[in-house]
Amino acid sequence: MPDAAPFLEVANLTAGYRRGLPIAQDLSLHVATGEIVTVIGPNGAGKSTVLKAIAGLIVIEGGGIRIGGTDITGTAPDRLGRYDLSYVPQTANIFTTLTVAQNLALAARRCRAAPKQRIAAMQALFPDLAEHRDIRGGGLSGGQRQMLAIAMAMIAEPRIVLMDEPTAGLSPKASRDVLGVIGSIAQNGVSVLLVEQNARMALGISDRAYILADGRNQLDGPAADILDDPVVAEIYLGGRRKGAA
Amino acid sequence: MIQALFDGILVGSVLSLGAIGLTLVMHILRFANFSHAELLSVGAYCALTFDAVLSAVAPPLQTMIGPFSMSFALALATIAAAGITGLTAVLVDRLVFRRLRETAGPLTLVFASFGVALIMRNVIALVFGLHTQRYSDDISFAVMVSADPLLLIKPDQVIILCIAVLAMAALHLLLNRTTLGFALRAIAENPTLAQVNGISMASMVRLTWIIGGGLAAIAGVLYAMDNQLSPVMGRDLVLSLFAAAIVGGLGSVSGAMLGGFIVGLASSFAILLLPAGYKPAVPFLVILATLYLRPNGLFGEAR
Repeated sequence: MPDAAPFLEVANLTAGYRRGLPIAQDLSLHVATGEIVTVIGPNGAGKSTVLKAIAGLIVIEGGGIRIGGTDITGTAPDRLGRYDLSYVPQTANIFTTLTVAQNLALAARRCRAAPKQRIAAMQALFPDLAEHRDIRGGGLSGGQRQMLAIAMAMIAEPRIVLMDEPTAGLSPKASRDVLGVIGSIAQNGVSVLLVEQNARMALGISDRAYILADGRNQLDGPAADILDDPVVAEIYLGGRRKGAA
Repeated sequence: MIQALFDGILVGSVLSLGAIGLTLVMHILRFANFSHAELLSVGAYCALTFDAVLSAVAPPLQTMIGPFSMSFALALATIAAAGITGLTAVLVDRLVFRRLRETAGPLTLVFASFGVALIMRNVIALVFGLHTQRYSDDISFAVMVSADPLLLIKPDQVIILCIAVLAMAALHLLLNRTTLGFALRAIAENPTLAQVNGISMASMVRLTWIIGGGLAAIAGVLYAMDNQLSPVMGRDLVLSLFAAAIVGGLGSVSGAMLGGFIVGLASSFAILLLPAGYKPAVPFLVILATLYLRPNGLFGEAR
């Protein structure tokens, strides 16, 4: 059961790719320890923008971001590991010219614990990666790439992981596998902030959800309630859920 | 023929060393740095200075290493020159290129690099004079390795080849066996992902300049050992360095290594077919042939 105290707090965030052209506007959300929170919404709603703003990759024009009570607003992306935060981008989330082992070794530079032990732990968690350790990232399947990307994010034992559409472009089976891994990550006390187009599947493993539109908060609540809300289903989940009133 | 082959390999090894830094900068900082060749001059003259200082401070260091005309002082001076040249490259980046990267486009950086090259060349001429100089006044006699076909090799040429190959091997190990090397390759491939994986862009940019400058300095010393020091040696080599980087594929370190040897061999064999006056045109022809046959070079990726 997730701890109710918020670990990540985003308050009144206004951010975008260029100054003066905000995508996310006055947006707020929070994630408690061990909680999976999904952000859904139509294309252009600002879902990925929120993650990029937290990760320090875009211009923040207003509002604030706190992790464990510490203000990290505008922190450079290479320093986020200090705040126990990892980010998995939607595309190009592994280094295709490096081998699997080299990708893991690189990510393990952030480890506080012995890097070799952490690499071994990730290979034990994702046996496919151990098997393909000498294959270049560019030679992996979509599912294997996502597993490697998640392993790279998890190797430094973060307390929160931001994931941008981890099932994009994957087969239904690979998507289920990836979401299963995300569920097990949260069971170990790691918070997950998830952006997903595959909303129904994501809501199925989430504790809470936020719905965004036009860069603003529209609705939030327990994932199960949002999944069962016929209006939300009609507008954001592509039609009514089977059996719903 | 075999003499041309050896001479081509020798020149190619020096060009390879120089081209590596050029291609690294192009890959990571995304601009063609026309001042890179001047770092060869900076390195060569730094070594000349350190050689003189070390020889004066510790005369025993003037002893030559084996049959070579390289003294212990020059060997130490080369190491110091590599460090100083790397730091010079970092300083130039901080004073000129970093500001422009933040505010201007890649073409502005290219034009700025022309300006930097002119400044470096003229500062060297101002400090050391326009006349040519040598590290050693001793005459290095060539040894006849084979009479038919004729192959003459100077001992210095052996050490030049060995040092160049060792430097390239060391870089290869750094890039392929160490996490620092992985980080450098990661920044070149995907700067955003590299940063979210904890890699500092600023540190990697500094490392790129230090490696590029250091290798350029070694290349400059080796070139000057086989030829002579001149403030315009960078200007004379810039086209060959670009040809090597383009043949190998912009951004590819192993490509630059191979490209250097190809340009060196092409220049050397061209003398057998063309009047010597056409030799400077050979790198142009190599660039044209590469762009026509394989626009991305041997190991380059389409952008």
